[in-house]
Amino acid sequence: METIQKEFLGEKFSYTTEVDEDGKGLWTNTIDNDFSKWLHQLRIDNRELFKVQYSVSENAYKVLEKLKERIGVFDDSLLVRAITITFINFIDTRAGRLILNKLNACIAAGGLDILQEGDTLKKSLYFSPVGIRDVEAYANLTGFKRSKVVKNALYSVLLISINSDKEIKKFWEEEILEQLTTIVKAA
Amino acid sequence: MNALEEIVDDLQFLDKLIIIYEQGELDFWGDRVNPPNLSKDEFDLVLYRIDRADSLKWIARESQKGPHGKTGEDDCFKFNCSAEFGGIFENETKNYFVKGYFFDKDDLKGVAIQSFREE
Repeated sequence: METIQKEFLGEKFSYTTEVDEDGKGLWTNTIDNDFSKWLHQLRIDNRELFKVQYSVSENAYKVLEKLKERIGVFDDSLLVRAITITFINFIDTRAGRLILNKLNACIAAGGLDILQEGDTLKKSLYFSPVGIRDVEAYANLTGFKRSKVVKNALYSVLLISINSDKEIKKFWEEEILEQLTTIVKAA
Repeated sequence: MNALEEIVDDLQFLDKLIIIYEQGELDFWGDRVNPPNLSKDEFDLVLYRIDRADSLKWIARESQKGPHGKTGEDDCFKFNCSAEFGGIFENETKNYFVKGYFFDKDDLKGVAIQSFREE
């Protein structure tokens, strides 16, 4: 058994585990639970580590406002968190690949331009311990900064929400809206 | 045949791996510096972005480390895969290597991921 230090959000989580011949540490469900508890405590001790700043244009924010009305949520942060998690775990996966490919064609034709118009608003939100694990993993895999992870998710989802393509509209109405509503109501 | 074995009985390898990963036990070997092994959180995201297991091979397992090292299947699977990341920014495809084995032999309970790294 050896003690391993895992770096996360600039802090160190220590755990004792079995190490194999190649120096890899065994990550078990028990260690995962301990890590979650450590993260909860870290959020209590230093909430700022869980903060992500992002920017949004005035036009994109208007679309977000309409979405807030439709879902029945008043808090920007709550909805943007739900959008980010839904994007990472559902839309940008095999399940949403065809839709994202269609969206790319729309972006290539200038579809994103209208969303990017207007002054830039600076915003920030705080992720939960579970949410920050998804954001960090996605950021590590893509090389994106956390702010870019949120922006990618937010603009992609807003663009999907106003798209008139029949297939994208169906995906939005039947899949994404339901997931966003569920996450927001559970919060 | 136990319940998990019945669920995955007729499935292709990748679908079988996903179901066992979701519903079974997991031993994940991570946090190695050189060559760097990616984490379980990262494996969670990559697994749902891959379409197929390329160059899938079964090789005799050498390591008996871990809680299921002695009871796991004799052969390890290893494969390469590609995962696409998209959105409003340019899509990017990344390549990964995965190696592991199912356990226990003759009584399927879960999967051990021994290696997961970017190629």
